[in-house]
Amino acid sequence: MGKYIKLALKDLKRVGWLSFLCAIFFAVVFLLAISISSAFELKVARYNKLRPYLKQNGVFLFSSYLAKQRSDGGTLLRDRKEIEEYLEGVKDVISMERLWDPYLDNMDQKLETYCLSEGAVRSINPVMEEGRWFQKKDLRAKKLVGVITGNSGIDIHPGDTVTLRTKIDDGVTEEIEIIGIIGDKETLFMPDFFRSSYEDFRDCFYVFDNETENKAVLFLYDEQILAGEKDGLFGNLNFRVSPDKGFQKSMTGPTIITFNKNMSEKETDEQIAKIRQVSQINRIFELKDFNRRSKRFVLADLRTWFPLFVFISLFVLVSVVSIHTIMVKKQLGNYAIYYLCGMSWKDCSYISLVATLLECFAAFIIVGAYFGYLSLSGRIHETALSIGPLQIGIVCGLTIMFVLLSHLLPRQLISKTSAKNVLAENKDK
Amino acid sequence: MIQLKDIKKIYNKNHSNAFEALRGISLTIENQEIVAIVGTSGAGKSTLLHILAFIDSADEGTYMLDERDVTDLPDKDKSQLRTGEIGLVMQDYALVEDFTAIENVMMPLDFDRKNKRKSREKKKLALQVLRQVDMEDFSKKRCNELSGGQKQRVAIARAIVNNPKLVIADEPTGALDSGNAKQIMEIFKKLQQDGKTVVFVTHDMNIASYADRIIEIQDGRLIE
Repeated sequence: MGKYIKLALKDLKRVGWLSFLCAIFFAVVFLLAISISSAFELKVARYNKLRPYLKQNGVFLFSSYLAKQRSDGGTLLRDRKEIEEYLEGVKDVISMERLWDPYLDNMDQKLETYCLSEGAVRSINPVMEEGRWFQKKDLRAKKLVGVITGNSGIDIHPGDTVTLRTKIDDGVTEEIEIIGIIGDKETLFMPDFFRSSYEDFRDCFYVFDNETENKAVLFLYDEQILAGEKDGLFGNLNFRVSPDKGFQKSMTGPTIITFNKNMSEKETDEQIAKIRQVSQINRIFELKDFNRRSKRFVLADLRTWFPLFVFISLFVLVSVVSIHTIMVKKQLGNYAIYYLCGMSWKDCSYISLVATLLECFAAFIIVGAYFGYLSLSGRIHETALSIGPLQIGIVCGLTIMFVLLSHLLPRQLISKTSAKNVLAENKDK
Repeated sequence: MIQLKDIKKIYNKNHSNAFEALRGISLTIENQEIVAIVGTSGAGKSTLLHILAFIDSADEGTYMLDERDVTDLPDKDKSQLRTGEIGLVMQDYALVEDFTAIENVMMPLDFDRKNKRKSREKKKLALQVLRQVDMEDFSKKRCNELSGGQKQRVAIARAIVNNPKLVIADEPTGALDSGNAKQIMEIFKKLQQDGKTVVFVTHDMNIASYADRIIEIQDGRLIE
């Protein structure tokens, strides 16, 4: 192999900027493949977290608050259990509740606080600046756990205990052990009331930019609060434990409700009508439509970019094949000399194959340098680019395809002549 | 060393313009002989040399090299013979012009599949043979910076770097002036003293006189 690398490098040096151009072409194709696959992978990952629910019979709601009908008007629905009790035939609820008037320790500014249901917790996997995201083991914890965004304005670390208090009911506090600080610009399950609807799964998520938001948000694990009910824990956040006092809360933002499979459309409509009666619902979609649009969004980039990617790849392939064929034609005289020195004539075609491989390697370096620049400048977070097994597999596959296909014509060229003929032609010159 | 028996070579075989370049050549070349093959243009000298050097193959007959039948060897085996047992010197030097002298000389060592050597050892061998042909000081010069005589010396160095028993040269002095030509033939004489067999083609009888034996070819046949 060493001899082929040595001779391929010499061949590439001879064509100079053309081989550099091939490397740039390859780098463009690799980057395009990485971009498309990264974006697709990210969307699929996010979609797949909700997919088990979206393909069921049910609805997606986006609301300012959800409420149930009462004889004297309406009353807020305070957690996912209340929805399950209020409606009939409910299978799953993915939801969040907002606490009213929460304050952190002795601070005067409100701290936006949400309690996430199990499905909402599992739908995201934020990169943590410190500590960790919620885990199943937290359901058994006797102390309430919480995760906070990174700009709380106080010096807080995982393991610290903070006190949450409400001004509505003086003296009501709850101690929360902070288990994690969320990294900047992470995607969270939370509402954005100022954005128009995507009408797909994106309505469940929001990218939290610490600098733009200029506030902190605290997340609690609603399932832990509900699990503590049997031991009488967390009464200030669970009205069933403490009916007369505690933090006020209401369901808000994105909510997915699935119904049992055997419920008819009429029965489902009746349940939705029940919730609609006094709720402030901004938008409502049947899950099958919501899921269809979600899938369409996931595939949208592929539909747009894949034909372009194929076109650019073909262009690059044709260019590289042409360049290498011309290169081999010009090098036949030297290949005849290698033949005289003991290389077999057919094996001379491998020099061109190795040359293409080296150009691909140079393309890897260019792509690597670009990623390095993005990482060092902190701009990698502004992109959906990532390098994982999928991207490595795609790039390796493209490399093999380019190397093999660009080898075909040069190999043909060499097999159609012989070293003897080339030597004779050179002698005549 | 070499035994050819009834070697025939026909170009455009089975076509109406078939041409018999060699018409049954039989000859024996002993170890440590210098043999000159002479003849007019188109006599078949280069065709015979190409068959001896495995650049071309005979259509009929037998080629024995050191009592081994090498007539129908596969291409890979012929290539291996060109790295180790046979050294080739061509009229137009057959050097890679943008390689340095030492890079050109190292090529048979790079392509030798039987004896894999480390880079340092290859360089050492290359410098040794360049010294033999008085070209050590030019080892790092590119071949396109050398004169004709210097290039032919580098070509000879390359031909002997793997210590072959047989050196085959096709018009080795054809592109050189008489002074350089004489120096090249002196080098061949030295190679003979080192135990090598040299077979060369020439149209120049002055150059042929350096040989121990002169073989004349005419119309594809040996002239006795």
